This record gives sequence, structure tokens and C-alpha cells, in this order.
Amino acid sequence: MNESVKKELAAIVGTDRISDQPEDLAAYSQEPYIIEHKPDLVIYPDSTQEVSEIMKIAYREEIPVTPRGSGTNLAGETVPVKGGIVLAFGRMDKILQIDRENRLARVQPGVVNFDFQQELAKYNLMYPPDPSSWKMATIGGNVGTNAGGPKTLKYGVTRDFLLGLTCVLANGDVLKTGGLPMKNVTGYDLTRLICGSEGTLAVVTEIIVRLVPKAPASRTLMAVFPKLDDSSNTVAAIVGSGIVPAGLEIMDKVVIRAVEADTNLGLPTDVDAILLVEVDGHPESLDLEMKKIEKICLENNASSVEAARDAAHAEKLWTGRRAAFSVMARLRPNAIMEDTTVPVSRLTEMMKKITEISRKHGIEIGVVAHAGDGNLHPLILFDQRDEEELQRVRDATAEMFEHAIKLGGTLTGEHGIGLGKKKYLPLQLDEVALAVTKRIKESLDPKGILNPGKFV
Amino acid sequence: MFAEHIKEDLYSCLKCAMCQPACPTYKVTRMERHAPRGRVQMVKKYLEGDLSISKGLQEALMSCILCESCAQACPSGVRLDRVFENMRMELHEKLGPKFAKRALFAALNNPMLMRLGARVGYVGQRHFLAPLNIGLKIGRIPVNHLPSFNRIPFRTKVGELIPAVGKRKARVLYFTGCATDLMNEDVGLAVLNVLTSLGIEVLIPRDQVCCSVPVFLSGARREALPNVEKNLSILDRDDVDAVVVDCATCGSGLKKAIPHLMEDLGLDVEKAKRVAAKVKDVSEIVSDSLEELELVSRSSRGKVKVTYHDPCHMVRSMKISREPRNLIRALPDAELVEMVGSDQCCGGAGSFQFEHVEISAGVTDRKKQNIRSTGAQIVATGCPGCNLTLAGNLYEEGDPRVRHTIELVAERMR
Repeated sequence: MNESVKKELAAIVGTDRISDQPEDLAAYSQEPYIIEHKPDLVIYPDSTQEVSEIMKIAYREEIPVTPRGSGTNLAGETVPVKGGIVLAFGRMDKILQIDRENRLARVQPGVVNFDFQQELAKYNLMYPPDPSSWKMATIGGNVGTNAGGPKTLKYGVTRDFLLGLTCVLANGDVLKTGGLPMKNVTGYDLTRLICGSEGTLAVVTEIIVRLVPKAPASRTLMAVFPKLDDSSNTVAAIVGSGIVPAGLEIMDKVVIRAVEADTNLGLPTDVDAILLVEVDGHPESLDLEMKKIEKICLENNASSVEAARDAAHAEKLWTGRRAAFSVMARLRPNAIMEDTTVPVSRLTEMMKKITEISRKHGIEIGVVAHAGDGNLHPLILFDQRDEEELQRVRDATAEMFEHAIKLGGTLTGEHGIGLGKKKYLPLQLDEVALAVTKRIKESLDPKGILNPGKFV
Repeated sequence: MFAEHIKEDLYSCLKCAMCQPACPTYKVTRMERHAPRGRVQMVKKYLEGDLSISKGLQEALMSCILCESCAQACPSGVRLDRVFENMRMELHEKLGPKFAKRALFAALNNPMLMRLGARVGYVGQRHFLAPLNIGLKIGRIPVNHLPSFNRIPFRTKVGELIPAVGKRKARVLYFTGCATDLMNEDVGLAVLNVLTSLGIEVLIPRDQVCCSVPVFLSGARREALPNVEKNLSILDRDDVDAVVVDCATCGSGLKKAIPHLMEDLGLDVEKAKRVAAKVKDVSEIVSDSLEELELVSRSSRGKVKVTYHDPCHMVRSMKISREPRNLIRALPDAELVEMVGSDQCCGGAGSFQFEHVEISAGVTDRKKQNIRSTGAQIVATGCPGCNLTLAGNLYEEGDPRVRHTIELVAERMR
């Protein structure tokens, strides 16, 4: 990038919020994905206006621009593979408005999901999308990847809570989509087009979200299943019974053993699966629901069922599930948390297939899943410095996706396409879908400067 | 020099960013260069030859507080504190410290020079600064809110052997640290008062020197060795039951950082480990014997609200958080009120607050707000560094007083 362009960009934000220092470029070359690539420049914008001015120059000079929140995405969405500018949104972290009466909020993209939730709790409100990375991930990043989380089953994903966006287009124009009203069918649904587009269509600079009242109470139950089939039958039976749990999580044998070895929680290590169920709502109805769930578990051959007595006990039951990633990650230098979704009825089949793939390729894989919506997260362990092992990981992953699609599943439930799944896109999108995707991209980003190298 | 056995940690980093929300400096600037993950990446790239030593790299690594919050948050068990300590040594060897730091190191390494400095400071504060009452600040702290120097050093004042009151039940060695020796004699006197009342004989070897934590955490690891080795030879003895500290930084150094330092430099680590095993914060000893102390109320108007600030070096390096709270709960006229984020850094970190003023201010402001929200009249803590920062920033009308936990106990003894 030539120096005069850098000077022009520096004039927009001031010299403190722009850097081409090698250590900054190194710091922004990474996110949890394996592939790394340095940008040429990092800019920390403070306002929509600044982003617009930056984009005008980037458009004129055809400089790639990759927007980034906290960089916690898992499929390489924010790796600037074509160099150019990284727009780091960490500093645009203001909650602009919390409207209790209309149950909505307006935020800047750099607001951290967890911080937002803490603030909302003061108003007895809740923003349901809660990806596991919620303590560090930003709302902007959540919009970019259409993030889900354990509460998805009951409440829905990011896109279900968006009322409107302010975005900057590739040429610097400012686009406002949606608005404050709860019901709004004016025009195409551009909000939901931008959501999940991973920064390839526009740069999001302000977000209006819908909120829900915070549930007055919640209950947790843990059930142990010696046989995998019984656990998934239980999941199907719970969902089929009309109860909508706020969380329905499963851990497989590999994960249970690793967690128990590390934490000594007293989990049985000779069983196939442990199921965690959380329901939220009014205390009276929760008691009834818990009884019903307990009965379903026992009818489906659970060897033990433990209902939390109080919040502290519930927290203890969740400890193992929350520790799963850390515990697994410590076993080997690298750990990837993969992401695929199959119809709930095919969950067991998929879990068995993953075990089979793991054996076949000699790769350690443990599975945790948001069982209620069939969203599996295989945790794959390896050492990326071992090229041969890395290849086996790639092969195993490819086989996993092919099988998921065969079962009527999807490439990704909530982590996104990014770099990691770009090559698998044709597995799921047919020629027509790919062509439409391409035309949308070209019409919004004719010069291909928005997060290039991703998606199409 | 970067220890080989720490390099492997860099390859266990999952780049997941779970360290980010734990990092006080990232919270202030929201830039990866001030986040643990960003810094780890820089170190990795440097060691792999993709990044060279520069002022910018130095700023990124030296603006870390070494509060260890990231190491605690890391799911993968990366010892980020040790990664950064090694990298600081590398930077120090290649770039050298700044002039002001060189002067500080020279003083900390030389007891004579330090005591002379303290004497000059004492006279200066009393006879020049105080009467002038000027608005001079060092960093963000007004000079008249800095701790004052002792008239004579604490160790000179109290001598080498302080007998137990009544029958002797135990014998400890008291590593006083520079802060108590030269500035906070009230803390030292409180320690002696409480320990001897518990039937503990206290030895204070006259020739102990600075723990040198500020020196070697800045990267000057070899320069710290003379002091470190001298202290180890003084402290490594069988005839004491414990080595007692009243300073979280000295304690963390003796208990953890010095064994690490010896290990990283390939030196004899056994002596350091023997000493480490004996190090106890004064609150640990007192917490075990609280029922033996007859504490009385000093307040005539209801209970005093006390909040407790966990020093980084105490809560994470030494893993002590319960004992100081036990002490506060035992005070008959006090009520312990927890603040939000009691274990988050105060932003001081020794010379950090004077070198990285803006970042430090951001961290301190958050702490101040959390303290003020409790409505406490007293902030108790166990680190002279935190004490200096908190007292230097909490001086508005209605702000709580900052005290060492042991002082609160000593004041309430019958």
C-alpha cells in the first residue's frame, strides 16, 4: 500500500488509531483458525462516518478491507488473506440505547456480548444469542457470523433478534436497513441478508436488536446414559413432548473421560453419554416440566438422573460441560472445535460416524453437541507442526462434512464458512444457489474488496 | 535469553481469546497489541524470526502489567506470565532499560544507596514538599499523597530478634521488604505486634536485601541475581518455621517468580524451592490462630464497612484470597463488603503507573469506581504497591482510607 494512501487514511482517524507497525500486523494476522495472514494496515474506527470515509478510499484504491470484532470466530472469517486493511471494531463499544418499553437496544458493533447481557440484566431483559465465546465476542461479530449458542433451541439465533442495521457499503455509502418497529416488511429484508455474510457484503457499524424479558427462574438436570442410542432417543422424546428446553447439551464418552480425569467431578467414565437439560420460565411450571423430563430420561434407560437443588448445584452440574473445551484443549497443542448440524433424529447416527472416522484416521475427536437442535461440535486434537497429522485431520473433517450432508445436515450450524468451509460450499449449495450468491456479492461489492477470499 | 522449555507453551496457544476479557490493559485500549493473545503472537513471531526487536515490540510487552489474569484464564494452560517474563529479558538484553529504570535498579540493588535515598526523601518530604503544598504529580498521584518515608529504617529501629510474648510456640523469619523497611513502619510494627502476641518469636536478619522482583520482572534477570542469591542464602535455614512477608510482591517473588527465574536461567533451583515452601503471607499465619487473639471493637458508632482488594501477586501468584478476608471478618466492629472485581488489578504495578500513564489510569479508574460503589470506609489490602496506587488515587472527600489488613487486626488487640 503506498504511503500517500496511508497518510490519507491517517488523516481520517488520527495517527493513534492506525498502524502499520510489524507487531500490530502480526497481532491481527490471527484468530483461532489455523491459517494466518498479515494485513498491511490496522485501523481502529470510532464512528460510522470514519468507516464511510475509509471505505471511499479503499474503494478508489481497490484495497481489501476485513472488518473484525474480537477475532474469536472459528473458521477464518477475519483472517485478512489478501492483506489490505483490518478494521478493528473493539473501540466502538458503546451501548447507545436500551429501551425497556419497546424492548429493544441500539449498540455499536464492538460491544462485547457478555457486557451487553450484564447491562440488560439490570433492566430484567435478555438478548438470547449466547455463543460459547460470549465473554469476548462482539455483537458486530455475532451479526457477521449469525451466531447461535445453547439458548438457540428455545429462542433462535442472532438473525431472529435483529431489527435493523447501519452498514457502510464497499463504495462508502451508508445503508440503513430495518428500523425500530417490531413489525416491518418494507422492502427486501436486507438486514437478514447482511447478517451472516461475514463482512463480505457490507461493514456493520450499528445494530438494533430485539430483547426478551429475562426468565424469572431456571432448572437444570443431568442424566447419564450407558448407551448412546438411549441418550438421543431421550432428546427426541423431550423435544417431542412439547417442552422447549433453554439448553439441551450432550457430551460423549471421550469428552466425559477427559473431563473427569481433569476435574474429579465424580462423572461415570464407563458410559456413552451425559445429557444436560435446562429449562427456564415460571417456577411453578418448571417443577412440572422437570418431573416430566426426569420421567422421560428414566423411561429411556438413563442409569442416573440428578436434578439441581439450587443455583449452586446447577452450576456444579454445568461445570463439566463448560470445562469440556479447556480440558480437551490441554491434551494436545492444537484443538479445533468443528461445527455441523444434522436433523435431531440423525444425531446418534452422526455421533457414531464421528467415532468411526476418528478411529479410521487415527485422530482424537471428542463430541459435545447442542443436542436439541442437532448441532454437533466435534473437538479435534492434533499438533499443527506435524504436517502428516494435519493432513489426516483435513481428511477426517472432509469425511465428516460429506456424511453430515448425506444425513440431510449442514456444513455449519453456527461457526460460518470463512476460509475453513469455502471449499465445501458446493457440497451444499447447488449451481443455482451458488450463482445467485455470486450475483449478490457482485452487486454489493463489485470490486471484490470486502473480506476477499471468503465465501464465493 | 528465552528459556527453551517455555517456548513450547507458545504452540499450545489456541488463539481462542479467552484471555482477552481477563486482561486489564486490553479493556482500556481494545487493541490486540495490548491483549495477551496479541502479545503471545508477537513473541512467537519474534522467536520464529518473522519479527525483530523494536521500540514498538518493547511497548507492547512492557505495557503488560504481569497481573497473571491471562494465565489464569487460559484454557490451554499456556504460562503467559513466564512467556512474557522471558521475552522481557530478551528485550532488556537487546535494547537495555530506559535511563530512569537504570537508576531505580541501581538503587534497589544497593541497600546503602536505597537507604540514603530514603533519608533524602524523608527530609525532602517534610521540609520542602509538604510546606510548599504544590500540586506536583508523579504519574497521576499528587506528591503529597505518596507514602512518606520512615524517619529511620524499620529494621534498624526494631533490631534482629523480637521475642514472643509469653511462651514461645514458633519462630519465624520476617522478610520485611523495602516498603516496610523504608516507608511503612506502621505495617511492620503491626506484624510484630500480632505475631509476638501469638507466641511467635520473630527474626529479622539485618543483611536481607531487596527481593528484586521489580528488577527481574522488567527483564533484568541477570542483574537481579546478586540480590536474589544473597537473600536465598539468608532465608534458607532449618531453624525457622516460616518465612513471613507482609508484601504480596516480595511473597510472590520468593514463592514463585524466583524459582521460575532460577529454572529459566538453568541455575540451582533447589534452594529457591526450599525457601518457597516456607514463605507465608502474614495473613496465612494469623488466620490459623484468630481465636487466640482477643480482638476488641474500636468503633463506637456501629460497624465500619471494609472492602478488600486482592493484589495480583497475592491472589494469583500466591493463591491467597481467603485468609485476609478471615482476618477482616474476625474484626468485631467491621463488616466485609465485597467489591465487584476485587481480584482485578489496581493499575499500579510499581513503575508501570508512571511509565504507561494512560493505560494505568484506565485500569485504576475502573478499580476506583468498584471501590467507591461499595460505600466502604476502609479498603484493606496486602501489598504496599497497591496501597500506594489506591491511596494515591482515592483522596476525594468521602473516599475510603487504604490500610494493610494486618494493621486493622493490630489496632484491635486488647
